[in-house]
Amino acid sequence: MKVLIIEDDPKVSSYIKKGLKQEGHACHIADTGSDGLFLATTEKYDVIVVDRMLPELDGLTVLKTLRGAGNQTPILILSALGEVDDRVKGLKAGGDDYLVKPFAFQELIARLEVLNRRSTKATAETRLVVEDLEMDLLGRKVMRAGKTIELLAREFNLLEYLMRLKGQVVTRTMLLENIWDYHFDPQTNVIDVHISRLRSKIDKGFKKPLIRTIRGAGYIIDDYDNTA
Amino acid sequence: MALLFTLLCGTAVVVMGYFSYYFQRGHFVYGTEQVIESEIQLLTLLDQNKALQEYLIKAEADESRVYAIFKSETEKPDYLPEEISLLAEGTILFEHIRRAKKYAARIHSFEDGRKLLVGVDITDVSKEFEFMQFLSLLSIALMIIVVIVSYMISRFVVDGTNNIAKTAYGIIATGDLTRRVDVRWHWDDLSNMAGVLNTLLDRIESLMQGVRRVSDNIAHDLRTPLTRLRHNLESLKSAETIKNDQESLDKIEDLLAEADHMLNTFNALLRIARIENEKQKSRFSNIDLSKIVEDVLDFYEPLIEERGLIYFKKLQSTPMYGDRDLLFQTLANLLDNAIKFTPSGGTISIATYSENGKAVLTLSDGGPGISVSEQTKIFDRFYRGETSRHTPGNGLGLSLVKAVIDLHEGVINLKSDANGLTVRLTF
Repeated sequence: MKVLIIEDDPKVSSYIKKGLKQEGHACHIADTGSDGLFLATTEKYDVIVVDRMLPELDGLTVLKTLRGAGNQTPILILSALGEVDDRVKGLKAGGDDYLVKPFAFQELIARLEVLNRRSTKATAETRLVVEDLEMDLLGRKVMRAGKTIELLAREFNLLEYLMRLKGQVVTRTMLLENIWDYHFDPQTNVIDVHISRLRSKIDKGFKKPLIRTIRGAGYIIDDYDNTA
Repeated sequence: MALLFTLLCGTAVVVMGYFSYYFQRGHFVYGTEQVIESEIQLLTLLDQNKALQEYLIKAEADESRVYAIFKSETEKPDYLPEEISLLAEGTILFEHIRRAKKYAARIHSFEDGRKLLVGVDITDVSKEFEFMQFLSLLSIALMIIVVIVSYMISRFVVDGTNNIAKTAYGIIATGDLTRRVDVRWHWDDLSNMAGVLNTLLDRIESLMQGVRRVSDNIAHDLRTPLTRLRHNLESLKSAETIKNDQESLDKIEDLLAEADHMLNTFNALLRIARIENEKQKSRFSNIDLSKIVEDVLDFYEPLIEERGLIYFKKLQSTPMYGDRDLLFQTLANLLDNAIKFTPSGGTISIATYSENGKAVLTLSDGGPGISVSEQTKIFDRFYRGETSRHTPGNGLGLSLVKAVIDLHEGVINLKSDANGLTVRLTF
């Protein structure tokens, strides 16, 4: 994955770059809006990360200019402004995702991978498979090792989201936004309770659990081979 | 107000006018009666001395008096006109047929049956009386004009102050500090005051903008170093020397959690301030409160079950105009509290319905309730009740609830009894 980072704070950009390199991704940094716009139009990137407040050209202008020129590269907006209104403004300007500073690196990488996958893969799947867990999207059925598992609608959606992003960390905020479709901060970690319920249905009685918790980040569902 | 003032003035004028009229008339009548009565006493005395006739002729000479002696009821002096009016009980008023004068007269009966009419010339007095009457009527008319003018002035003043009050109320209700009082004229004191108020509003507006700038700057300036702190902690986790040291890794996780807690508190505080100050309704739409309650319950259901609680819901469709994300957050905060304070095995009930065109939500828990003295404080920032001091939370949940309800111009009522706390929201 080739990523362009348009960010004026060198500490933030080098932190992202370091993290991305560790994960094996290529990364370019532009520290002003106009430099970023230049790089984005002259080179091909898989994902662009853009800060909202930038010298010379602000993030939203860069975004609008790129979209106006027909550039469809997925763009994630980074900002210290976290209000719903700001979020909506950013997404309306053509952003694909919005992340509020401060963020955990896992949150950023999880979102970038989702954006990258969304643009590279046409998602017309009807079956999702993780090891011996199978999900039939048309019949809305879930089976593990040939045994049907009864799930509630909400649990089904939760599992579907995790399975679609197989092998990727899914953060709690991503789940809130995508499964419950509300922007809010839960005071208690209710999401954990939802996940543990789901776990008790699909992992109970099996040797290896499929859903794992990544401390300080979120959850992941993956094949056995990839689990460290 | 203006009407009440005018009514009072009007009543005062009528009372005063009537009083002055009545007083003057009474004075006039009484005076005349007195003169006639003393005349009659004198004449009775003269009659006993047989000197009556002589005196009458002498006294009548200058036409200031008129007399007549007659023997029976039917007899009548020839100068009496057809029209006789009654001045007061026992006193008549007439115009002399041969003289161009007005007399007030009384009839006295002597012991032997003769009757004596004694009349006093009141032409001058009555002219004066008429003039006085004219004056009092004039003063009543003037007073009425004064009342009308003062009514108009008070209308002007009341309209002006109402206009100022309306603008002020509008600003309080919407938080829109750009509104100004409409100044129509520049010559009166009220417009002058409105102008001063507008200047004051200008000042408040610029101060508020300053405050917002400051808080935005704090948000930006404090979040950035905190972000760096967090980033450094995260990269520390992958450092070679620490990677395999579980104890250090655990410590870093704790530090990260602390940093996140600080940031969350900070964000929550800023969020409340923003909702309170901006009063933005740009994300308002027509929604169904019961649908949001349904979603909140759906979200919290596993937690309710895990805590061994029972819940009852009675949801009727309750359409309203509001911000679904903020309302979801509000209901989540309230339900979160209800779950936190209800002991295992307790019940939580939630209901929505429409009442008088308003959306109503009630949420009852089975917790210890909140004492009346605490009820006013729980919405303050960072306030933690006695019973909740040791539970997790930052003391901002209910402040946010209050801010969101105020934004929706709703009302929140608390009722605490032995069964628990009932929160009632009306939008």
